[in-house]
Amino acid sequence: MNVLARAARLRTLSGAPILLLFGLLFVYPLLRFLALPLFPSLGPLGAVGVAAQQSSLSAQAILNTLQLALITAAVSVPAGILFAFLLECRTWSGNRVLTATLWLIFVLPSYLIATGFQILLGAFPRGSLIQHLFFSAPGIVLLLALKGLPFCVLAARTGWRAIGGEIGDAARIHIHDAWRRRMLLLRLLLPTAGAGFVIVFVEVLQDFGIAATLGAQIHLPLIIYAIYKQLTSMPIDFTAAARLSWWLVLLAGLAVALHLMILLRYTSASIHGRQREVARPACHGAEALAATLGLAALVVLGLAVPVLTLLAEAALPLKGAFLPHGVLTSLGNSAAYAGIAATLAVGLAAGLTARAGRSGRLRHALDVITLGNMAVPGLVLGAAYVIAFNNEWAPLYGTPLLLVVGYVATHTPMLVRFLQPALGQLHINLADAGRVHGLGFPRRLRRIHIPLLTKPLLWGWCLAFSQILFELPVSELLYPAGRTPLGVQLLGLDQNLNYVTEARLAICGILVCLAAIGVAAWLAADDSGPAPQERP
Amino acid sequence: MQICRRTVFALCLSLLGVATVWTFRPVSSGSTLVLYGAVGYAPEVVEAFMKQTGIPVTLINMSTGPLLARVSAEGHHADWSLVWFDGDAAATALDQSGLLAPHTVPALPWTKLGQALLPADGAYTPTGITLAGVFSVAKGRAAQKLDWSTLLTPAEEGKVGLANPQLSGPAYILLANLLALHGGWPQGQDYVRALQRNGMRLYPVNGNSELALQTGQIDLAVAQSSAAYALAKHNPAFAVVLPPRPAVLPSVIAVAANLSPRQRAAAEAFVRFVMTPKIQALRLASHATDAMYWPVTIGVAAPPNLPSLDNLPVTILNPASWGAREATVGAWFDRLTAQS
Repeated sequence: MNVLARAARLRTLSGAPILLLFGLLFVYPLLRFLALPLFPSLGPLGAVGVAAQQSSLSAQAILNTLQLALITAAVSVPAGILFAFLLECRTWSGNRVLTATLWLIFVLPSYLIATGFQILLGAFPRGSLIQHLFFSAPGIVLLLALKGLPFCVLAARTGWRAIGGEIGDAARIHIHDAWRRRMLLLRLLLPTAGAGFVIVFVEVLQDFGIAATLGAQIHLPLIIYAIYKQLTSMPIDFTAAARLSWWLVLLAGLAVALHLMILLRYTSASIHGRQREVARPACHGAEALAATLGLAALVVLGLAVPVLTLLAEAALPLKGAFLPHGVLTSLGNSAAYAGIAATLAVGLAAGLTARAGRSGRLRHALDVITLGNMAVPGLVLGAAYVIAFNNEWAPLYGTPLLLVVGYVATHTPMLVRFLQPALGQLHINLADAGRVHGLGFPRRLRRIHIPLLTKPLLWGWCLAFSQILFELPVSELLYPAGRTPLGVQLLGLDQNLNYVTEARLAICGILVCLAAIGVAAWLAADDSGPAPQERP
Repeated sequence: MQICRRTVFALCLSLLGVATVWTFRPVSSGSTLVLYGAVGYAPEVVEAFMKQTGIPVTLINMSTGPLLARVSAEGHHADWSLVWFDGDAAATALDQSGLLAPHTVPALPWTKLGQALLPADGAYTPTGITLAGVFSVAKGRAAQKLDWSTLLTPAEEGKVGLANPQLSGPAYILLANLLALHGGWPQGQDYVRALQRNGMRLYPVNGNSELALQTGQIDLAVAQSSAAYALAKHNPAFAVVLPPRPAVLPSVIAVAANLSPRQRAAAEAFVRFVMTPKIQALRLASHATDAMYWPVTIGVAAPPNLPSLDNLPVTILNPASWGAREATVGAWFDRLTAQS
């Protein structure tokens, strides 16, 4: 018994360095930053022109952010539930296109979608109705709803899958009134709708790309941009930024708590052991028409308008080189940052997930940290890094290292969530069997774990790479001198109305992203690592 | 196929290794100059300088507001060797914080206005002049009599836009001039409050207010003259109206205080290079908006579509007093606009 207890303690202790690293990346910087309103002395040392609690809290920014988040979530959720219904409950020829469109919208940075619309609508007659509609709150809601839709569909698909076919059959037998049957379905969908609502709400709170482009353009104060303003205008006001960050963290924290409550309250009610796979019926006439129209609208608004507008703009003649050298370098910089940070983040996430899988406490801590990360936007973490790593003990501010660390810290939690299901399916006996047969850790890793995990690891890498390549908030605050990242370059070109160069650079960025994903997908398709076969 | 995949995988790993070495290479060697620039023609000037002298220069381009914020955040651990942006008030504030090297102004044939802009301790060099606030309007309004009081009329309610002084460095000089023309600080606050009550709209930088004008969100943009004249040049549907006594906004270049003697010599050589007639001609011929400036040295002609400054009444703000109160004015303005 003593031996077992000691072994368990050792296992827990062996996870401590990873948790310590995580604590150093998250907990210390965030606590120091968020404590600024109470302890201003925790602010940066040696800076010039730093204001001390002079700026006011923008009540308007808080109100606008709340309104936008609520309206966008309310718009996204019904659309998300309907698209998820198509994907989970119907056989329809457009499902593949729908899945691909949602993925592409997810990968395409929000500020590029906004720029595509800005360029297109800028060409309309001055003061026309469509311009008025887009360059105002409805325009922002449209863009945010488009960006929130993939998250909402993901949540809603889980809900539709959980409901299963037999509940519908049972309702048809026991409830004669069609309206009551529909109401029952709506009630069953409530937890899914709630989860989707919360996810979109949090995404809107944290979206910096649209706030920095269209939001700034139409002078709609939003919390996330107000924080950025405090950190990039002279005099810098870290305390005001921390105070605003508290609002963002609290609002998102409340939403995440609500999300958890919904999950705890309802998940067990709809999933049961006798659930069976039901053959999905084809869409009937009216359904197919509505689905086609919906998909067409999504493709046009989410992909065709931004991408085709960028392509058309990029094709316009411009004197000089296709892309100036300095502008092109930003793409190289970001490709390198994204490659390194995605690799490190995938490695750290896999290590954390594997370690947490063996210990209840570690797993719990990991769940708390990764969910907590949902409440902390990249901009706030970036601001926290400016303070935590801008002193004599850790003079990392302005170095490429801190930027890469920032990227790793902001993407690791998402990757932990992404890898958890795949790693959870690996039975512990596989490694134990290898150990019994005398395989050392490197060989176990090479012969057992990596072959089984190649696909999720590579897809996780692709996800992180595509997000980091176009990343904006952390880049804006932490980028080193002479190593401008792609997002910062694109935003600068956008603000100076240099649309042709911006479009060319964006298209090149998208091509690099697709090339990296293509190579990774090809490597992931490799069947070089066969799963261990059972003997007959 | 199997070998092919392994080869590709090995190639990807090698590429990652190269990317790592490239990313973490030293930012600059001892002889490299790092220029934080907020002027559009800086890349062309840097290229010409490197070609002529062989001294490597790393250019970091950003708009004036974020540039000043970055310089301020770095404080005395500065990563830059030179800064080049619009606004002598901000330069004076940096000088008062001890971040600028004194006595770096080259001996040149200055114009009368250029001479008036030289700092006493030679901590920064004016490289050209723009006006901080001119009116950018649709061509049809060019003949109308427009002045600062026009911005307060009911007809302009919600239709006047300007860059946010907190995000755009040049816009602070505009705000300072509005205050100065209407009684100084703090008396001039009443005018800005009235402007705010009349629905003044703020944009991050001049480019955004121009876009707002072009898309009909506003009818009048109070913009930096370079941006306004560039818009009028490229789009004949718009024109520039000069309001009474616009503020002179010099672009300035300055050398960091913490440089080694060798780096300082190279940085001063860059400042002299920027002001040579040949490079001024290069700057004026640039496609960047900032090229629409009035030179401050004799013997260099302004672009043909700019009016002469000789007989134009302008305001020259005291950079020391307005630079020193930038934090106070900025915080007041932030509180004022946050209430909207």
